[in-house]
Amino acid sequence: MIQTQALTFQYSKKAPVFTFPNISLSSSEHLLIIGQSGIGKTTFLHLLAGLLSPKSGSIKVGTTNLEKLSQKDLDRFRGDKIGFVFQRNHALKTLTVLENLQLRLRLANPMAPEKQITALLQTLQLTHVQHQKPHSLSLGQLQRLGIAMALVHHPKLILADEPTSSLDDENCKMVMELLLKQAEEKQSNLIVITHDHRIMPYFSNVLKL
Amino acid sequence: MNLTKLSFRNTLYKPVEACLTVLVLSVSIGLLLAVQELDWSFKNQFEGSLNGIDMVVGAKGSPLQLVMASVLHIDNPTGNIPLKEADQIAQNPMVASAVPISYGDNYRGYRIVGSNAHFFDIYNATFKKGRMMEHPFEVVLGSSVAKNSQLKVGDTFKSSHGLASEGGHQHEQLMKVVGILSETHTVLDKLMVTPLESIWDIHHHHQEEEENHEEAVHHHKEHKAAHHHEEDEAKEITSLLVKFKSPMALLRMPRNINSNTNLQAALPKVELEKLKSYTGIGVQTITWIAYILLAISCLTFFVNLYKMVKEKSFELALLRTYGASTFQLLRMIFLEGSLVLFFSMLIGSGFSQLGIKYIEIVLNENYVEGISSSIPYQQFSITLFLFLVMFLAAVIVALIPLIRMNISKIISHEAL
Repeated sequence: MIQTQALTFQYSKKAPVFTFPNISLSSSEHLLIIGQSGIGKTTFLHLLAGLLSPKSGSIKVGTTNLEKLSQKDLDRFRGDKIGFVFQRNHALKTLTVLENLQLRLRLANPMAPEKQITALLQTLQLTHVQHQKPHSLSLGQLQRLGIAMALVHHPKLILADEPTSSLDDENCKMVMELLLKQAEEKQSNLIVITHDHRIMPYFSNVLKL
Repeated sequence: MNLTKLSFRNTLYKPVEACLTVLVLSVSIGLLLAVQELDWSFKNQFEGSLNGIDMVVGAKGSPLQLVMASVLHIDNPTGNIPLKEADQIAQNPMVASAVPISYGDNYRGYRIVGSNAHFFDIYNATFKKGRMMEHPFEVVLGSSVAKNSQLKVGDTFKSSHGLASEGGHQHEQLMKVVGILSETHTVLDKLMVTPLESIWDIHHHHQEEEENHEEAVHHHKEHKAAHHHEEDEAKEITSLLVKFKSPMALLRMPRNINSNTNLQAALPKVELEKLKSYTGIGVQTITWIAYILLAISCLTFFVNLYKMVKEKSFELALLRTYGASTFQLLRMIFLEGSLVLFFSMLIGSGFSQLGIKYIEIVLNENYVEGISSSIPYQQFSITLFLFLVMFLAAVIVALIPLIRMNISKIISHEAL
């Protein structure tokens, strides 16, 4: 469950103030946020993740009010409850696919069983490349690794920033189907921001900024 | 996998860069440690060799030469002095102890010093093996001599005339090793000590051989008896090492000897201070060069660390989105820096020890002062502390971008 209330943000005192509409998503509900460039889509996503602090308003993820958390608790909350998918997928280049996932899981929950990784690698067809480093993966494999990094710790909220904008139609379809399937399996909220109209049919809940 | 293991992986990710950083730091650390060790070693040995000798009495000449020859044993003596006159000085009420020494022979470049048992008291020497020399031609070896010459207790050898290792006439008389001293970190380690009588007897015999060629054979017996009597009266030593009962004697005795006798009194501490004022400039210059090199190395280290933090800003921001706290990332980068520091310290210490060993070999070949034990813990700690302060300063400045990191901006593909 995620709720925002009267959310505003300002980068600096002289910068314009962003005002965001209230959202309220129940468990397993998904949202697509669209809008022109510069309208504040990414800012909104980063506010939801606690990467930015709002000027005013509140954000509630589950039962937690993000603005009431200390920086340390916010870091922990983000690591445990939120999963990010980026436009270009990045992983730590010095680690293998498996080690990247192990580190991600360890940061979220040191006690989490590693079988979560094995299952996810199989689901995302990455088992055969698990000992390779990210630079040796194909674009499709990298996208799947990005999704795996966002999902390995079973987050309650999955935030995706332009996850398909650099992909062809086939990979775009693959990524969206994977994200939705995984979000449904893990009972997670999925919020995607994009200006890629190809993914609009996947969402019933669309917010235009 | 955890952040500690990631630090190791990151350090080894660019091995050439990491190795070069370690190398530059190692060289400067090594140079600084080596210079400090050498400086400390020489100072320590000078002080150890001077300890217990307030004044040296010898033949007229350069006072510095007298001290160098009689205390540090790295120069030729100014000449000999009559034992009788030296005894008169030794009986002065202001004198606590007076040790006569005589030399002029060597074994493979190691000086053979004629003296008595009190000579060992000056250096607080103890026996590692064997015993004190009791009879003429018995020899006690300093620790370095024993180590380098491979002579053992019970071995015999022939000494050579003069102080140089080559070119001297070899005496026929066999000398016997009866004792080996423990290491004293003083000049004694490089000396061979024998009773004064050995030196007198060898040189008397040597003189006799020369004279025999010139003298008629039928006058031999009568002349020899007379000659022995004269020699007792005219026995000579090279110098007298004096310790005073009171510092007051320092003001009076040397002046008195220099003004009223044909002898020369020199104060080792004064003479060696003069020497240090000349050589100290060189040591100071090298030390400053080493410090500057260390500062440059720390700057290089800082630049590399700063560059690394900037280059890895996206990865670090990514780790923050994974839930890593700023403190965890600081610890990770600190650990990466510490790994470089640790290996630099390790290799630097190795470099300094190799350098010291090399210098030791060169010095040993030249039969001059060796290197004593390694740098004392306190001195080493000061250097280590200084280096850690510079290292921490470099790390803190390099980590400022990490502390001020705007994750939102970075993962939106903007600059740090």
